[in-house]
Amino acid sequence: MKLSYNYLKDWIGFKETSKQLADLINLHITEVEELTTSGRFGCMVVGEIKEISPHPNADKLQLTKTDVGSEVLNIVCGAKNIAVGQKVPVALPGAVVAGGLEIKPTTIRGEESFGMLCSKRELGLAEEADGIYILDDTAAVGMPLGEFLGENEDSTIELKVLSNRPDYLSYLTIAREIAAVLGRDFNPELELDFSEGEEPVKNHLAIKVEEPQLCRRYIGRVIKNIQVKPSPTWMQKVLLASGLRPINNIVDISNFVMLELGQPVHAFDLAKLTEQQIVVRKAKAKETILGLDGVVRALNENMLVIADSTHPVAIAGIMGGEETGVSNQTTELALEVANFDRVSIRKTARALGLHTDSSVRFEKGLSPLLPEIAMQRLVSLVVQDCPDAIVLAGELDICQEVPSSTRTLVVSMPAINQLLGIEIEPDIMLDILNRLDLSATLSGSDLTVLIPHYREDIVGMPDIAEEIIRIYGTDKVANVMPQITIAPVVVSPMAELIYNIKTRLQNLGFIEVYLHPFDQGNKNSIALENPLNQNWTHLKTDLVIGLAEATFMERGERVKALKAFELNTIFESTANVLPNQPQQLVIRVQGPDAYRHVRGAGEALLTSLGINVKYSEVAGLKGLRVSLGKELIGEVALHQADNAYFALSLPMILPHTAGEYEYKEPSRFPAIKFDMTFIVSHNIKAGEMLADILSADILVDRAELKDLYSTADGHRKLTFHIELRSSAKTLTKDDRDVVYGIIKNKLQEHHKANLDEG
Amino acid sequence: MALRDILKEILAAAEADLKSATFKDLEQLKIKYLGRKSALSLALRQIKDLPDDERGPLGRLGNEIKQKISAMLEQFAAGQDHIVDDLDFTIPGIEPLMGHLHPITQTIGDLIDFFAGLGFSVAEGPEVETEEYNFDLLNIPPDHPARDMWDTFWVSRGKDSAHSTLLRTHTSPVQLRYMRESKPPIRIIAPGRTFRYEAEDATHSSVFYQLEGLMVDKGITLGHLKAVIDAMVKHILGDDVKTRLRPSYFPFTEPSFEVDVWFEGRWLELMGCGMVNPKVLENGGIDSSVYTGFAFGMGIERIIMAKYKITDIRNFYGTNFDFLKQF
Repeated sequence: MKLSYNYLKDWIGFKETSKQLADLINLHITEVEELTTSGRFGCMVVGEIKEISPHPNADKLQLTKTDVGSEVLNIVCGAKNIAVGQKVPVALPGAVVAGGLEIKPTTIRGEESFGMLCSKRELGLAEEADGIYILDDTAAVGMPLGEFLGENEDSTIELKVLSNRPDYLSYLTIAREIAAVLGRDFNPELELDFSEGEEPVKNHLAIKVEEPQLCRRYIGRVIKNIQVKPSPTWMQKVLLASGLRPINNIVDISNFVMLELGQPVHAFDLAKLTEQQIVVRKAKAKETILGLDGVVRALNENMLVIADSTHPVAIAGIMGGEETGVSNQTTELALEVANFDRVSIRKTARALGLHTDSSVRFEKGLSPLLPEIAMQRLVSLVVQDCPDAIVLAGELDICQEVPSSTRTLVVSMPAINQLLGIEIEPDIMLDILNRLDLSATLSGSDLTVLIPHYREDIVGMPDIAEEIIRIYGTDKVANVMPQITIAPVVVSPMAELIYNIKTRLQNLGFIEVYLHPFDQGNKNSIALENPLNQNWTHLKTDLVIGLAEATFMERGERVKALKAFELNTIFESTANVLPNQPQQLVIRVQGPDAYRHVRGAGEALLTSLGINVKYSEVAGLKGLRVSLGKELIGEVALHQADNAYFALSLPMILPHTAGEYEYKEPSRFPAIKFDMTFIVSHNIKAGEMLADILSADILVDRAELKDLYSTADGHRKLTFHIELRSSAKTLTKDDRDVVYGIIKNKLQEHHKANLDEG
Repeated sequence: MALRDILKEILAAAEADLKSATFKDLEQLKIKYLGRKSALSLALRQIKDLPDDERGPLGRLGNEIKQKISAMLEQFAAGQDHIVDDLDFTIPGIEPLMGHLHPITQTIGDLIDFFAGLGFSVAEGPEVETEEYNFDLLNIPPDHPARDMWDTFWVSRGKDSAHSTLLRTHTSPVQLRYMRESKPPIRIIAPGRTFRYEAEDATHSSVFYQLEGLMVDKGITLGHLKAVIDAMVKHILGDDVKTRLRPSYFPFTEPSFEVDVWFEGRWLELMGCGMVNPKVLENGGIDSSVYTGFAFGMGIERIIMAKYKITDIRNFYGTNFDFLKQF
């Protein structure tokens, strides 16, 4: 909702600058999204210089830190007459200074600058100027410059409309709340009077509501003898500052009433309504309408329309039709002020992709009582602007049951104070509520509040507490740490495992990445109904491809050797409502010996978690399957020449991490170390040989593959480094020879391995 | 001599040379065996002129030998004492390869520790969530304009909202899942991944992380909420920041507020919070006439971006080591 600062100021009569007003709205009413000033001083504000330092790369320039109200900006300045504490004009990005230069964030000789301190020349106030224009002390930091310089420019305050407050789409409510915040008396004083002619409206207009569920109220009136012309200047100014383009007096008055009261209204050219009929019905198949925006739209049977006796003349609550709209030739008006079902309006607006000032108001839900006052206001303003106009006698009011204008809510005052953690005096509570049009009285410790019809959002004590505390000020609530009965905190074993794995991988030199959870899917994946793009249509069932094929960059170049991992949720569809959502870990190594490095890292991780896995070969996989007991828990494989991965399912390993680590007493006796080199046929597996060595004798404490290469005649030569150690004694050469022999024979037997003793 | 034998001789020579080499010889050996004019390079160049049936096997062998020699040289280099001049102690250190946890992991871990200190446990919930938990039970009915506050990725639309699923738009459904399984006093945080259906740019990501907080007990007040949030924000951004609350609207809290932080010269919108709406307490099976509570939800990326002045949220989900290695 865009609001004219000048209009609010005239109405309420406050002295606050637009910046001060915006701050108050922000803190007590709703978020201010933007404060803008139109005209030649647009995007210029009063700033205060907070710091000045020399520019490191330019003698004639200085660096300033300038407070512009919303923030403190770095601004480079070339003038010498500035000093800390001065108030100066600041052109912010978007401003256009005299001469036509548009201000943008920029870098001047290596220093960032987010605006420009202006001289009188740059402001167009003087032909020549000597240095920055230093403003006097009455200038308030953050104030729009035009306002300070007394140029009668208006400012626009754009505020966020909370979705439970459709009345924030009206000047009336915002003005009332501003007055409440300022503690000023507020009297709306809307002119609602007009006199009617003799001729009854019934003779000229018939209204039929065929969809009473979707149109709870429809009020129609007819005004004759009007003159279409430009609207009054004051009204045009309000509309412009509120973001609406003035068109003619009738359209402008309609828009003005909508802005003022939050109730959309519509004026038809009565002469163009076939048989002078209005029918509120659903559209028929294949019906179309040419909207006021010049676009022809196809309608369907779910959409509510306003029709005359033959065809639709408006999309109810969203947009009027061009053919029955007000033109310069119009002399008779059929006025519509109605209440439409919010869900119906919302669905139609979404289906048509057409969101208008009218539809956003109806969608949020308006009171069926609002049309009464809106119609009076509309007629009164038309008559004021067209003194010859004749208002036909009577109002056509097709009305389902209308709620009473107020309902009563009784809330406990101590409960409010208890919820807020503060003691607010009863008088203050009553004062705030009454200023917000929530008539309140105190009986005992209970507040009896009359809730007006347009405040459907208020249903209980916390709503009343909110009204009070936001006006009173949340800063007055003291911060108090809650007192608790201490109890152990609980972190799920899975969360512990995840954190454990991540820190261990960090210790192993891996870099963690978070990639998008979407891919193009496979037959088992879960599809999104509304994907963002064609590459992200499904949820990942596996993180391997995403990580293995990711291109990592450093200093603008592709990283050739890397260690990275991703640990996140994957999604597997099931017969249940919700899919399985297990955690998966994928480790990637790229570079020389990628496979051995990734396998080593995966094993180190699993060993540190106290997990012993088994590996098995499987056709089609350039690697091994990893299993734990009888369950498959992952795989380690080569993805490309120098790019390998280790993938693990966390739910599978979680149950096996619970056991206590088994401590082994370090041996006090020295090890005997030796190497053994075997020549084997090329299809013999190094892993199987190593396993045989490790299990050859109880004295084998460690064994590792030290070297491996293919010989000229198609054999492989493998060297193992072996360490023997006993926890009971110092080993002798005899012990060594025995084990040496066992290993030699075992490998000969199992793998036809020949010991290379040369 | 056949090319195959030449290659093997080169390998044998390299092995022999390395056995007697010292660190000073390393550069020479690199040139001798891997340089552009080395015998190996010359041999490899000849391979491409061979007939088709020989080129494949010899090419593989040649590459294997090249990799083996470079690995040997690397291993040799790693095993050598690099300080060649024991008087020059300005010699630069050799940096080990560091691992890095993602900044989101670090921040969530830090907040879990911080809240553990205040007695808050960690709760979890599914990322593919039902419409019922993500919206209905949080007092956000179907076709209510409040739904527009959350652009939603739909997974499937069932006949009723209990069977209609989506990617959770916030961590707030965890509140309900936890309340339905527990009795007050409740003190939890729920960090996790959340999703919004929106085009990505420097400030919007379709995937992001939130940290939800929920405390329910007898006599929980707005003053308690303010104190906890202020302490959390100071923990992350430093003791000299200030916080303030501004009125807002969330269907699941009443009153509802936005939290702003005064950080480095400006007010920064940080997160939403409020007192738990009695309807939500009741949906969670908690008697709202006895208990009150507060809840908050903070964007993890947003606070990291504020702290480090990161300007593009897409960095978090990218593959740029220049970004990831700074954390």
